[in-house]
Amino acid sequence: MKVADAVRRARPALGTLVELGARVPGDRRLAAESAIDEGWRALADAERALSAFDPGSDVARFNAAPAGAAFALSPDAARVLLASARLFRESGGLFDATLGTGPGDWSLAGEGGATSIRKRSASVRLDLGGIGKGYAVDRAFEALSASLAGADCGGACWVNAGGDLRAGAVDLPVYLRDERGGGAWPWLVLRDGALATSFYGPGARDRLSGARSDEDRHVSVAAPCCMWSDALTKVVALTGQADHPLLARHGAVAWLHPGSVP
Amino acid sequence: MMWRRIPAPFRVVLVAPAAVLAAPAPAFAVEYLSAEQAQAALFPEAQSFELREFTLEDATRRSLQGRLGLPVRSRWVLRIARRGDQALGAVVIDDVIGKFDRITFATGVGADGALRQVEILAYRESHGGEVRMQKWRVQFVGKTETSPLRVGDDIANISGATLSCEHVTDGVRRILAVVDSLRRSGAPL
Repeated sequence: MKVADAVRRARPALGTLVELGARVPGDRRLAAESAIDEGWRALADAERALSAFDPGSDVARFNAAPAGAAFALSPDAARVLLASARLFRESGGLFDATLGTGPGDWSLAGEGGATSIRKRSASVRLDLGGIGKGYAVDRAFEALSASLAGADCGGACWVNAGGDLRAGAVDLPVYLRDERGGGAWPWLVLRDGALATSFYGPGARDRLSGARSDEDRHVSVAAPCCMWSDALTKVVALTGQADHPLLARHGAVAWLHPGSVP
Repeated sequence: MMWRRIPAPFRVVLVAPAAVLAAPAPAFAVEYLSAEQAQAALFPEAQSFELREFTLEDATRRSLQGRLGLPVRSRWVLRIARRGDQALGAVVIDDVIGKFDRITFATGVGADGALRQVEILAYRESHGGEVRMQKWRVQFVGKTETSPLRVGDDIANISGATLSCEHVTDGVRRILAVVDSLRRSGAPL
């Protein structure tokens, strides 16, 4: 039997360092590299579709549009905005893709499989930072995984965008970073699922509107896919409830832990 | 070390509940590509790479620093990609150091001066904590037989708050400016 090798690549993307990897038999490294290239392409497509900074994205188009404007969404933007709208309802308004600029000022409508968005006020702005990175990880993972399966290389692959991680048919050892003191601890082993970790505290990069930020805390959520683990970290961080009822509804598990280890 | 399986549609096995994590931090390092693999990935059509060292004149270096708002060193090694007599561009390998990490990356710059791609060569977490890490390694070595986690496991991943890649972005900006400046001063790139 041929020994499985890990093929790993990393690039700067999604504002962080992203790793794509696969464990394949030693003689299938080329197929794994080409599957990883497919993953990079899907990641770049998702990033372009959801970025508020790309003038061609639906998000930028919505933000620049006048009140009353309506237009059809790309499939990527439609999926993420439908999930955002659902999470807004389910969380009683805690998860807000407008970051307080007008939670009720946008709406989605579906017709014949297409989804369109309507803007109801000039001031409302969309920001998919709380869910888009997880979605981009899912897209990259799906492309990588499909390409590996197509080349008969199995499904032992993963995508890690720092705080957002998705693993396929592989026992992936996960370390947790100490955000204050540096270093990383062996924490869990993930398989066929996603894990998102956010860190909140003074000077931290992740921020929540309406949350206390005078103490350090990590929020981690494991879920079947990364879009939900990413988005649900915000609900857990805002409520401080690692057993929030929404978690079970999405098949998720959460942890609240200190930002650094004593 | 404690183990606990979480009931969920996916599989999560807790190695150590976060609340009782108490060991000093281990090293975390991943080697992605060698310099040779990176240059071949950035210029797959190249037949050869020529290593050349360039020194920026002090006035040029200071002017670049002023324009970029970043420190710029004087000595640069470029890997010039060639196909026959034609120079396709250059690969520059550099390091950036963040708060707890050190990233080695390769930047491919085409003959037109445009950025081709950035590939990460190596990532090392927790630089500066080597003494603590060394102690931790010693503690951990005896446990490798029974644990699926090994120090330096070749697929271990890290979860944490988003690591900013601002340093890499700055590093790439600096390389593009340096290559452009060398080309303007007549370097055969």
